[in-house]
Order: sequence, then structure tokens, then C-alpha cells
Amino acid sequence: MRTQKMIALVKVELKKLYRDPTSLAVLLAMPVVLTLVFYFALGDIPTWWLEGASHFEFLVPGTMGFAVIYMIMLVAMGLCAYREAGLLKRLASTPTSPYEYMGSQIIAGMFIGVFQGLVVLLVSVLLGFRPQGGLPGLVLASVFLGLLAVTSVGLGLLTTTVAKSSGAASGLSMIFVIPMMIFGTFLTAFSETTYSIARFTPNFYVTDSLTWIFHDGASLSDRVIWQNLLILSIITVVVVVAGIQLFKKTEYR
Amino acid sequence: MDYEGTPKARDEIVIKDLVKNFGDVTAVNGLSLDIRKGELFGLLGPNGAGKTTTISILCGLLEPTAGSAHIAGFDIGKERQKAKELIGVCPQEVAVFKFLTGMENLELFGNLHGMDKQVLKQRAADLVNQANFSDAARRKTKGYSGGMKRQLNLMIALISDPEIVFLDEPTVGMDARARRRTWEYIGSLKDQGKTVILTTHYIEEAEALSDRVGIIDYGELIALGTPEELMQKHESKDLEEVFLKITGRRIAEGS
Repeated sequence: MRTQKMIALVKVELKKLYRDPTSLAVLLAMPVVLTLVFYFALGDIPTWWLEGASHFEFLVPGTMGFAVIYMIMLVAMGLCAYREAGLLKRLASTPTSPYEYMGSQIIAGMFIGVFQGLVVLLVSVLLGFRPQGGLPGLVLASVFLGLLAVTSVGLGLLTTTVAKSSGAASGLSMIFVIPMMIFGTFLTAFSETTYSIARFTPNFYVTDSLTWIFHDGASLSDRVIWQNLLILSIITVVVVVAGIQLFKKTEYR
Repeated sequence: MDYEGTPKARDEIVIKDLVKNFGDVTAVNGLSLDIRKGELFGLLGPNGAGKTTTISILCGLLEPTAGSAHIAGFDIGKERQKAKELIGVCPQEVAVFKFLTGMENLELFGNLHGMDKQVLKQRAADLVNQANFSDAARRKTKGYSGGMKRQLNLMIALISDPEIVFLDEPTVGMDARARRRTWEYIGSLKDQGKTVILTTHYIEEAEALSDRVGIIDYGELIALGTPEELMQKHESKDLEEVFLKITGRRIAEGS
């Protein structure tokens, strides 16, 4: 793998974000708006899960993960748009291997995903949320967010192989986004059933871990954290390998 | 041409019994062809004849159903990446990043070819200067006219100074002046010793530029030779007449 090629491609993805108003809106406005909505809707309601905390504060870790899973849509729509413009074929005609290309998508996705999650955290802190765990907790949370972002890129690659257009990609990505949003983020602890279903969504392990880190100051030495990290890593590898293989077969040789 | 062994040095592209099926449709049907080093080869054919499919296979974008293709001795099936290092592709559609400037597009594709930073900078500057494109190159391509986008499309294909250049309908949508200028430019590629494979719907373009022309229809090579040879053989005043005679006859035979 040539780093020169991957760096060039990562730069393109990052430039797209700040030069394309739609992408910029998804990147910045979405996590900010999301956090504000939850703050104004749930900021005064005490949660029954954590003593002395509002329901908004309880949901901050889940909201961070929720912001990241929109990467699925961002990646799928972006790649479908490239395909429609003939850019995927053009890129594939260069001596850049599918692994270098998809590697660049994963790296860019990781940056963007972590950034989006941290935007939620920053806005939440400005609104009064006080996370535990200090800097090590923040680093650990970023690792979880990064893995979730990589999983989301993998799911975005899978969506691209099925979607015929960028419009269809936005709709199809909801097949992944909605269950992850409902079960892995907001209704996780609602009942035994939702909890069982949630365990099949990758962001459950992020929501759960970030809740432990930010509300209880948990660290990597805590069993729940390293167990979640292990499970999330396995999910990430499986999804990314499946996404890369299918994308390589159908879109980028 | 020795199809069984290593291609001879003078043959830059060697295609042997190439077949490509899409489901029940055969797009390329047993195509065999060799293209010489430094040659400007015109690949002609009616819509759906299999030109773009053939080019896509040669560029490593499609896997052939059967047969083989070699680019400068590299098997496109087994040594795809090595073959891709030698080629530049100007696709039929304008494929440029809209949110990047012209220069950024050139630099990106240069980087994807693994070019040295300084060499890339110089090469990009040379290309934009030659094409009188310096001012436009600093702007985002979103605001480009159709002709400017086509020019950039061609420059991207040439950024790596490739040995072999595939030009798929490079002048579609250009006005007469831009087309004439592009013809001159394509002609100059041959002077630089590059092997050029040109597919076009403009028969006069192929006649003016090509050393040899291959006409394909229904995925098969139905005529091959210099424009003069083909005109003589088919007793025609120009290549367009040859084209219409050959492809028209096949339509009549098929009906």
C-alpha cells in the first residue's frame, strides 16, 4: 500500500466536507442540532437511570454514537454520487488498488466520525454536561467512536453495492440507521426485549461503554469496557471485510 | 504476432479471443487485435458495438469472460496493477471532482499514479500551460463550461505521462475550434511516442488522426487497416463511406 495515494484520497474526502455545503451540514449542523433538540426536550426531565442527572445527560453517550452512524448515509451517498459521475471507474483505472481506495475511505470516515461524536460532547459540555473519566476517558471514548465510524463506513460500502443512485442510497442506509438509532441508542434500556435486540447493533457497545466512561469514570481495566471493545472490534472487522469484498467485486476492481 | 508466447516488443497491446458477456448479451465476441507501440489506433463501431466494453477490459475495469489481453507484456487479468501504471484513461463521461480545482484534480490523479511531488508539479504546470488553462486550473471545476471540463478530462488522462493513452470519445460536446485544437493535441501525443487508442463517433476524426483503424460491430472485428487501405478495399471515397458500407451490410445480413 502506498501512503501517498491514501493521503491524497483522504484529503479529497476532507476537502469535500468543507467545500460542499450539504456535507458540511451533515458534518457540523446535524450533531449540534441533535444535541440542542435533546437538551431542550429532555434537559429538565430527571432520568430514572442515574441519580441526580437529567434524561438529556443520560442520553449524551448514545447521542455521540448516533451522530457517528450517519456516516453510513454519508459514505453511501458519496460513493453513489462518485459512481454516477464516472469517478469510481476513473479512480479504478489508476494503479490505486481497491484496498488503498477503501483504506482511504475508512481513515477519512474515522476522522469524521470521531469529530462528529466529539462535537456532540463539546456542545453537551457547553450545555452543562460534566463527563467523568478525564483525558483517558476521552481517548477511550474516541477509540469506541472511531471503531463505530469504521463499522459505519463498512455498512456504507455495503449500501453502495445495492443502491442504484445516491437518492436510493440515502433511503437504503436507513435500513441500518433506524434500528441502530432506536435500539442501540435511545430505547436500549427500555425493556428486556429492546435490550436483547440492542445487543445486535454495533452502537449498543458504544452507548454502553460511553455511559460507563462518562457517568462512572470506567476505564479499560473494567471488564465491561474491554468486553465491549472486543465485541465491537469483531463486529467492525466482519462488517468491513464484507463491505470491502462486495465493493471490490461490484464497484472497484 | 505470437499469441501463445510473450507479446513481441513492437506490440503494445495484444488482445486474443476476447469475450465479454453480460448475462445473455455478448458485448465482445472473440476479438483478437494487436496494437503497435507508438501507433494511433482508431477503434470505430456503431452504438453498442462493444468499443467501450473493450476499452474497459483493457483498463482493468472489467473482467473478460474468456480470452486474454496484454498491455506492454502485462496480462491484464493477472498483472492488472502493473498494466494500470502504464496507462492513462480519458473516459467518455467527464469524470472530475467538482469540489476540487482543475489543478487539484490533476495533482490527485498524479498522486494516484505515485508520481514524485516535484515531477508532478512540473508536469501539471506544463499541461495547463500547453492547453492555455492556467487561470481555469486555479478555479473549482464546478464553474467550468462543458468544453473546459472535457479539456481537464483529457489532461487528467495525461498527467502521469503514460505510455499508453485510451481516449474514449474525447471530443464529444466540443465546439469546432476546441475539437480542432484537441485533434492537434492528440496528434502531438503520437509525436511523443505514445500509443493512443481512440474511440470516436466522428469518423472524420478517426480518419484524420489514426494510423490504423479497427471497426467492430456486435463485438467482432469486421475491418482492420489504415484508412487508405480500407477505402481502397471497399472502393469508398472516405472512411465514413467504408463504415456505412460495412456496418450497413451487417445490419442487412442480420435482418
